Amino acid sequence: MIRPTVLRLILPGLLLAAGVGAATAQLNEDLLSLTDENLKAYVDPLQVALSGTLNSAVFRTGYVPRGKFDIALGAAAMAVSFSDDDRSFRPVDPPGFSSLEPQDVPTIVGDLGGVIIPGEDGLAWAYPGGFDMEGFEIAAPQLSIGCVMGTRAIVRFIPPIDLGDSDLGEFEYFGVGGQHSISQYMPNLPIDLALGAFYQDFKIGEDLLHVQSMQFNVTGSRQYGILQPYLGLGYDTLTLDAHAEDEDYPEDAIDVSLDRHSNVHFTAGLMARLSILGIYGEYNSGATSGFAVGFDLGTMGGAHHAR
Amino acid sequence: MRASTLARLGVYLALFVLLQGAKCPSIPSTKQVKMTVVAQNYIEFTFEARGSLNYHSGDETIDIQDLRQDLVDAGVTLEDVDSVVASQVLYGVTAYGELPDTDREIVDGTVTLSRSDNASSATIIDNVDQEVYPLLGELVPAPLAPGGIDYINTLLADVLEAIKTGSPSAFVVSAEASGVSEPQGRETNFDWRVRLYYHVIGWADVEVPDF
Repeated sequence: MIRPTVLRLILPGLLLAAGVGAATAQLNEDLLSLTDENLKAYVDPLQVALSGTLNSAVFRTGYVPRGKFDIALGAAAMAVSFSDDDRSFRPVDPPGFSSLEPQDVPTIVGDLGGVIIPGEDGLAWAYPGGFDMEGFEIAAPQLSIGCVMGTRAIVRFIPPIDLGDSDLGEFEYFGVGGQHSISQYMPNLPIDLALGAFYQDFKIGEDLLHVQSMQFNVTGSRQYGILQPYLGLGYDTLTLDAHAEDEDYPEDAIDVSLDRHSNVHFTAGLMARLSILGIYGEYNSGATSGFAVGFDLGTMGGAHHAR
Repeated sequence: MRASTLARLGVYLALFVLLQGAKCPSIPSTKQVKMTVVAQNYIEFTFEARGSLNYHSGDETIDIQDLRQDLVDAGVTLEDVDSVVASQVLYGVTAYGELPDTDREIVDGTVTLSRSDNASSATIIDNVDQEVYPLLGELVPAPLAPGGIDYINTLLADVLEAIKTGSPSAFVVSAEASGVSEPQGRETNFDWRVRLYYHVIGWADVEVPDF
């Protein structure tokens, strides 16, 4: 009996497709021979990159008016780069296979060429190549609206997108959260200060890929003319679950839940607002380091805050 | 020039740079790359252990045409298949019919593989001294016989050649098991299997983001 176990090909493609949309939908046909443990190590750099990008550019001001209409609609682009350490991992030998000599193999962002590791008794174990990625980038539209009792709502949303592959289904993404002013309780503070929380969720198909992230944050900012520098300190968590099933071989279904990735998150940024146009750039040190830039149209923060 | 005017110019300049660099990040550009991919397949031999313990598994077929189609479906160019290697040999029990007795044991078990195309054979598993019931529903590493994997790899080298050329269209292999089943005073009644896993390593064109 011979049965191709191609399901293990699906996950990295899904993960990448989640980041970049329909352009890589064909990667669901990529091939892998990874155990669950090694699969987690293979995709780990992408999980870190997802956390580092998704949890950026959400909170860009500590100023939340107590009761004034305040709105901003824009988009943020977040990017991280991969280090040499991200490009390879040391696999764990599967049961029944003992490698003759430990050897590093590519992660999903590593070299294109795979590695065949010789084992005892003449066996050998092959590991796939990576996608040779130097960085990762994601963009999201964001709406901030408020404010009631010093509280602002923040929403990120992309309407469901058909990925153009019946095996993949639709890509769905949304985020919801808010900020609450701390400054209103401490009027003598020299800066504006706000507490924030933000939940993000994106899916491909029903269960194919499900990424959830949660961020808690304190942001401080102060206005200088049209410029507003801001600092943030937060705590991020991200979980990634994937389920792949070949309807011909349902018993070979793969369920992968990557360990929850949690980290402290530091942000330093600068926003400038001219009338209703705001632009900003920020540096983030969280799951990984990266930059985010973006713009919005609205009144959030900036020149509308007169201390 | 006033400082606020300079700051406004700075904002416009930053926005200009931002827009110049923008390429609609939610729809990034992609590039075509050729990367190593690995397909893991297996050949499974099943046995019904009844009475004594000399059993023939029946023929199993490696269908080259199916394998070629799977690889093509996965985006692998058949000429770019580099190698086919044996990766794992596992075995386990699929049914146990002697309950409530769970003391069945195999002593000095062996499994021999045969090819129909060249009438060759080799022992791939030997020295199996194993309690049967604990293996129910399990797949565990089998004790490999010296030279057994070399024999399988020779078969797989022929499979690689057939993947590239399309001929022959199939390889037929069979397995034979032998050993002592204890205790001998009670009828042996269990089913078991051996899986030979192998990897097909090739190159496939895939589209990746171009950052």
